[in-house]
Amino acid sequence: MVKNFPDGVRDLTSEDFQLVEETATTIRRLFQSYGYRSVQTPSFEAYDQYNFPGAPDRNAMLKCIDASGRVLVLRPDATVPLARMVAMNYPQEKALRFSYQTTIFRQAEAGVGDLSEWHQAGIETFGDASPEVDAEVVSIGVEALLALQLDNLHFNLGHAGFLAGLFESLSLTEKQEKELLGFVESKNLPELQRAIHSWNLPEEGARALLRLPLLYGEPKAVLLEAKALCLNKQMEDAVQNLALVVENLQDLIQVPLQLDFGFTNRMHYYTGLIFKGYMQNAGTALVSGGRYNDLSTQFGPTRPACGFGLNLSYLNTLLPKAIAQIPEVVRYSKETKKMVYQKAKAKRQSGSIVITLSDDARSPLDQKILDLRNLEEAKKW
Amino acid sequence: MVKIALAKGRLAEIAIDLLQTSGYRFPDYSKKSRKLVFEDETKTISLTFVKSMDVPIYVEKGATDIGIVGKDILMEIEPDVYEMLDLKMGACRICVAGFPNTKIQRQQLVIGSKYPNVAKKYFQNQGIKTEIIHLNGSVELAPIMGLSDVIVDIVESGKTLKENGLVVLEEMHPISARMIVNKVSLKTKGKIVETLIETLREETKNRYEDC
Repeated sequence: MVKNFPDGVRDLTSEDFQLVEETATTIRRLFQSYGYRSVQTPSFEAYDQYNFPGAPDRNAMLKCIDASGRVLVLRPDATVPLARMVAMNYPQEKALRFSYQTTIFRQAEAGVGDLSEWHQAGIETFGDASPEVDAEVVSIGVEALLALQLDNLHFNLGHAGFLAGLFESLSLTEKQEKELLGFVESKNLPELQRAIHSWNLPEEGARALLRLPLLYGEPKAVLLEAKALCLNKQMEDAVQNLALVVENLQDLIQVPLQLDFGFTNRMHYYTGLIFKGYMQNAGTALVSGGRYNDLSTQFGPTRPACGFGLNLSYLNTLLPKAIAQIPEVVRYSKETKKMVYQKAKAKRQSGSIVITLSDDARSPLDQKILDLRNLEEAKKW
Repeated sequence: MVKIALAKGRLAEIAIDLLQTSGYRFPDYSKKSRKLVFEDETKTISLTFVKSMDVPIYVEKGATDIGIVGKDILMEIEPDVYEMLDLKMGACRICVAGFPNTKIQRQQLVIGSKYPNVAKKYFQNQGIKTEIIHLNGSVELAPIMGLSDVIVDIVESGKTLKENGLVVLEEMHPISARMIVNKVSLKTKGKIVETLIETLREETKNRYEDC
């Protein structure tokens, strides 16, 4: 009897894991075909590495202590380690494209059915800040889901610069910004109204702020309205940049595209485009990504970057079960052993799965066994 | 079809009434029915009845697209959902209550509450160190029986407090029913969800114009 099995982790049985591998292969091929080369960072990173403003939440990280007493964390995200790796290993290169498939560890909240360990795949491109690259990154996200035969997809784009510019013009305290961010993120108009009223925010800024939660929908109309709400250059630049990304995307993807200026910079390091890919009747976003131009400065040379991640563990729950290849199970005798072994080897090389059993061995599979104990039968096989 | 989770009890009745005046009919529904899922005549909406504390998780995970639940529950659970509409109904306040003249500012305040997260956050922001006892009902008993110094609970008329010799010491936040929406549903079932939000927004305006 197994007791004390940890929460938030799960075994992948052979059926589960076959699907994991198939999905991984499909995704890896797609990423490679766009010039994104696979890399792997260590399972541990230094806890101190996440001690910069805007780093992912350190509370949820799984910590361990090495023999010298140093605090380490199990890989709590993919992007920060990759930015570190790029700074350490490729200090000179101007442009880089990397993909990864890795395990992410983050303590799940108890009682809500989330995992503390999951598979994630993604791409990150460094050194190019153009809207063309942003559009291509989004389109690879779309293609990844299409390659897995998922349909009813909807992609949404936002921009971190718009809200950042708006905050700039309002000169708020850090606490106020944090509170507003939460209200915008949850499209909470009643609370937003209450906050704006009680803090006596200037009329123009308040008007833009109150529109943000509902500033989503069909790109053309949303861009037009966003333009009218701009209060400074940073906001104007954000709208213009997003318009260019949308324009570039028009030639690349066919799935429904919406804008949402209510997307907030929850990962903190996003500086431009923020995007999410949804599927109808799947409760959470399948693709999540964006542009982060300042993160690399934490570790080395400043290189603008853009990328996204896919939660493969979640994706796999939406896909049909993998179909296992049926093996051939054969039984040999002392007399036919050599011949059966040789023939089995040849069959395996040409793609078959063969299990050979001695006279009295039990089959690991509940399946009919081909009797090759007779030399004539073995020859025919 | 849009799936809506309703918090069982009085809130559900007002919510169904609100939906019915907005033009959605639920022929199978009656207060006494033990059924947990009801569809409207046009099969546009299906209603699911769950415990109020469970509404947020149903919506966050996308088991239902929409939920109608009190702000007190949302403050306690803090789900990752869109909180799009104040339905104004079920209005009350979440308060700190206790015996008259209880000093809240002291350190090591012991609080009894159904809302441990709300209570903890509120006092943490004021720099008051607290010890929280998570209770599931009849919270007013805690100070009376000497279990806690104060309680954090929702107060409607204040009658229960008064009858037990307690008073409101601090008002923390106004509470009313909110409509929450799953983040994916708003985008993938846009039209039908938006129509529903607009309908309820209008109906709420009609009912609570004076507010």
